[in-house]
Amino acid sequence: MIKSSFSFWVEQWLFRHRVRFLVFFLVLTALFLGFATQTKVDARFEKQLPLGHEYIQKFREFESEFGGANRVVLAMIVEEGEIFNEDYFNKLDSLTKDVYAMPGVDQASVTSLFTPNVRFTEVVEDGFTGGNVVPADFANTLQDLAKVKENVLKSNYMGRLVTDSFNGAMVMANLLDVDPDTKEPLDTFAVARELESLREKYETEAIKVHVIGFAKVMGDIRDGALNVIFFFCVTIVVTALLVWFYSQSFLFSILPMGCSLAAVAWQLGIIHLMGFGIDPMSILVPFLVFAIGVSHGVQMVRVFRDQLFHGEEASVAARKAFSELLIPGGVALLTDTIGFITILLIPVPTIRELAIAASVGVAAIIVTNLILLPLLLSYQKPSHEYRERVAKRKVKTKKFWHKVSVVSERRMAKGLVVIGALLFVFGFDQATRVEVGDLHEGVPELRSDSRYNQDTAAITDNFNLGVDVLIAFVETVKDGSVDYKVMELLDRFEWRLKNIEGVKSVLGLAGMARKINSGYSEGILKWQVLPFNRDMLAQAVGRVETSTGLTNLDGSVLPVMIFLEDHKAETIRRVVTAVKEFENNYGYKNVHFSLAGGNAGIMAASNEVVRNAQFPILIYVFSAVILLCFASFRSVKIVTCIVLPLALVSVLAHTLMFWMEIGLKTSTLPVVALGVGEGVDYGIYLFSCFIAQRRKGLAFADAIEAAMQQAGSAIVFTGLTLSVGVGTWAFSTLQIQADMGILLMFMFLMNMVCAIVLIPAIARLLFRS
Amino acid sequence: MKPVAEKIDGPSLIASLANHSLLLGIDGEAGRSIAVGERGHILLTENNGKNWIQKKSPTRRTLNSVCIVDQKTIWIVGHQSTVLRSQDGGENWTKIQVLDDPETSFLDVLFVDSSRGFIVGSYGKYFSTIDGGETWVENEQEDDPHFYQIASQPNGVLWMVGEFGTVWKSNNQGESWEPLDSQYDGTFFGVVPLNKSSSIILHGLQGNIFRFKKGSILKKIESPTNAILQRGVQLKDGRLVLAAGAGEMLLGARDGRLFQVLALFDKTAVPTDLWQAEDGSLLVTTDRGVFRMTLDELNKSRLDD
Repeated sequence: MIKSSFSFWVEQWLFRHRVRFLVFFLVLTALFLGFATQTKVDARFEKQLPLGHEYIQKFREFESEFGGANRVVLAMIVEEGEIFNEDYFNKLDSLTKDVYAMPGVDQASVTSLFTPNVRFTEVVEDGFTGGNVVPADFANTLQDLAKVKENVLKSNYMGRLVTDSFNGAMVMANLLDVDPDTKEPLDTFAVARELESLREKYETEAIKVHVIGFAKVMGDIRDGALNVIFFFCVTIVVTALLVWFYSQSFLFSILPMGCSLAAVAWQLGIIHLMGFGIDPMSILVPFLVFAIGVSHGVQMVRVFRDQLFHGEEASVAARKAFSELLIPGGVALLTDTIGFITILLIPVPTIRELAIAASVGVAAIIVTNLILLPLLLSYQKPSHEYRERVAKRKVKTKKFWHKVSVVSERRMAKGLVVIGALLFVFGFDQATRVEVGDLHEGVPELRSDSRYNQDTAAITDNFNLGVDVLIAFVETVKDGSVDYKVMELLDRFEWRLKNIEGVKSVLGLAGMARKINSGYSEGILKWQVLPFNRDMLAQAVGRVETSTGLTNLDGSVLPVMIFLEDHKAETIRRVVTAVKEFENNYGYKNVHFSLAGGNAGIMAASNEVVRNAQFPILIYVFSAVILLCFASFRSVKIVTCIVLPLALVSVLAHTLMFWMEIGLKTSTLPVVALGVGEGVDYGIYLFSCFIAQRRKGLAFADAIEAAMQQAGSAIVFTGLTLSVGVGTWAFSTLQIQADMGILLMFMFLMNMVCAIVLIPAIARLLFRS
Repeated sequence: MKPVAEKIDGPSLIASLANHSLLLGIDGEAGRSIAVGERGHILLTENNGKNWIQKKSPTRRTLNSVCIVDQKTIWIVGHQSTVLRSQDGGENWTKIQVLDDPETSFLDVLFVDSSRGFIVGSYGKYFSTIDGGETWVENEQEDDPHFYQIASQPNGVLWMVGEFGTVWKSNNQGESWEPLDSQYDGTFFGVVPLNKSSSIILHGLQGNIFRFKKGSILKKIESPTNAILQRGVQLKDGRLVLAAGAGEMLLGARDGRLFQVLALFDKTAVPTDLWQAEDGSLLVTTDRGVFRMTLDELNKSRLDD
């Protein structure tokens, strides 16, 4: 390690003005803390969209024209019997009125048996006849209910507004982006709260209320994200215990923890000043910052204490600790930062904010734990009794590390390296099987047994409603919808997609127009064709309103909704490929088939982004680690010792993903970069001790053992602290947080084990005695 | 000038879901049956409807009706004046030009023997051949209802039905037609001439069933449904089956004097045409493919009488 005059010079300057600096840092911390408290939750949907992806650009292009995507559905399903009774219809009537009254609801879009837009038609001798499914003079008598049942059967709403088995009905509404009354952007969370209160109002033992819709998802995700604050408290308590156990001193526990919390305050304050809010992903950053901060703080305490035991004055010991750790600590934190910065490769705003927040946090640690902490330490005067206690324990740990150092005996080392290599090969094989995308049913952010996902299952089981939908946009010329040639091609497109494995149903203008044409011809199915005659085609198409989302006003954009059996990456990819093939084979000047809308369309884009970033991220993060390690140590051997275990751990992390059925998604892709960036710390600390020992002229075996005695306990401690910090996420109600927590915990622990077992073993084989 | 749509057609796509698509017409002979429908789908079975194989078709247009003339020759008609013929028992199909008008839809085809055949369609279109389909002659007439079905009685009498209560009868193999006053304005979608009597059954909109006996006027039969009745067939045992609304058919007894509902396995499938296969099973084309109901299942329903 280069012991530069730089750190000596900084040390002189810093400690000469230590009071001024202390005051300055404390004032800054107070300021940032003030800003941090103003941090807002910002879980906007757009932030999850991959930027610049062609699918998303199309989605954005047509978003305003087909805005009806922000829909909420409330279904009331009876536990037993049918819905045709007085009580149920009173409730449905009242629920419909409540939905009308909800803020941000597009009143014209409210649809239930009680709304006037729900009509039935019947083909009779002289054409169509029809009326409201629930007639205007409905008085909720037995006869009235029987009439409604009859009308429902004649309507198109069987399976849509009423279940096929008559055990439930629903109210649907679209939300407006801007509240028409207040002219404010829609408060999604207020809508979510409102929906939850409607559920409370109407749910009884006999009637279950199921609520789905984008607004509800966002509300549930936010609630889940905020629960994390509880985990943060747990983390602080457990970490405090660990630190106390390690340092054996109240003061030496409080100082590194306080500095790490200060780093969190800096991080939150700075990202608030940068204009960012906090979202379900970036809310995890404070944990990381706190844990990384504590681990570096503990290293500082360790060196400071060692100096004290060598008989130095507290102020001198603090100076020495500072100058000894400024470079290795700085390099380690810099590597962390670079690991986080590679995450910027994923062009998804939430992930980028996560990367920025984490980088800011780590930069803050450099100030709080490498500078502020030694300044604070320089004022401490530990008692004689404390020195003895630590010295006693040191004897115990010394024995322990002596035993552990057998890993660097030649035979043992060979065995360990072989085991490592075998694990790598095995892990690599498993790792290649990790699938891109989400592998489970329901909304991937939430747990599969969450109320929302249960509601989704209840609604999709009972109604003919698909929740995994991919929208292909058929872009044609003005009035393309009444051009037979265009519509015939659209009809073939719909049919082609319907034949793709994993597609449940397809809804498009051509299919709709064919059904309507049959309706015009007395309902006989022989006329379920696209009329060749332009006027007749226009007549059929004209009955399809833009609110269906199947056409725009001038008939130039005709979205096709493709309902999928699931949203597995493979299913989505098959559909995407089919659409692209169709465009290549049949698209021409006047008709183009482009992707994509719908939740599955966004997943398609995210999956492609993840697939594209998957390898570059690994390459960049490893290149950064290799370069920085090389710059610090100027030794290929040391770089090898540090990098090989990291590679093994990242491969094993993928293996774990495969076993736990965690897909590679925008939320799990950054984990490896975080894990590798952090894991390099151990190697750096270990080798900086090792080199110091070698400089003293120690033989390899002694130098390694000494390094392990110096840094080993701190490494174990750090691994545990970090694991606790992220491990609590495993209990989060949000699936994304749980996935990230489990993976990170695994990586942090494995990195620790590899650092104390594999690094010395590899070093043994590379270095001469 | 009104923009004219471009005439486009091409071979049908062989699709895994062809047997779950909208099928509209079926005919059979011995163990073989052919079902036709949307997107030019032609499906063939050699084992009384247990397995169906999609055949290559030169058209994507919706096919409405099929008629098996003999072991080799089969005719199919459809929308946009589509006519197809196979001369090898349904393996290969070629387009036959009878009329070149994309706005004419052919709705039914019938051959009474190997040389004499008829095609009827929209707006009163009616073609006939006496040379096995080598040449077709358009028979102009004043009325222009959609003709939905042409059928022959065992005694050679021909019946043609369609919109506006149209019921035409011909005693001379279609040389001349005699309109009957049906005293009904609605559409008749089909006619089922009964085998062992001179009666015929007419059916159409709103579950309407009429029975017509030679020399007497039409008699309205009480119907258990108000769904449209698209097609009908008489079984070998004399009972009738009519295709009704979603998931339902009507089973007729006593020469079509009494009807009761016969449920289809798929409650949402709308039946469109029927054929009793050689082994007695009933093959039903629907908007969700073709269904097979065995004779045993059919006979269970008889017990409910």
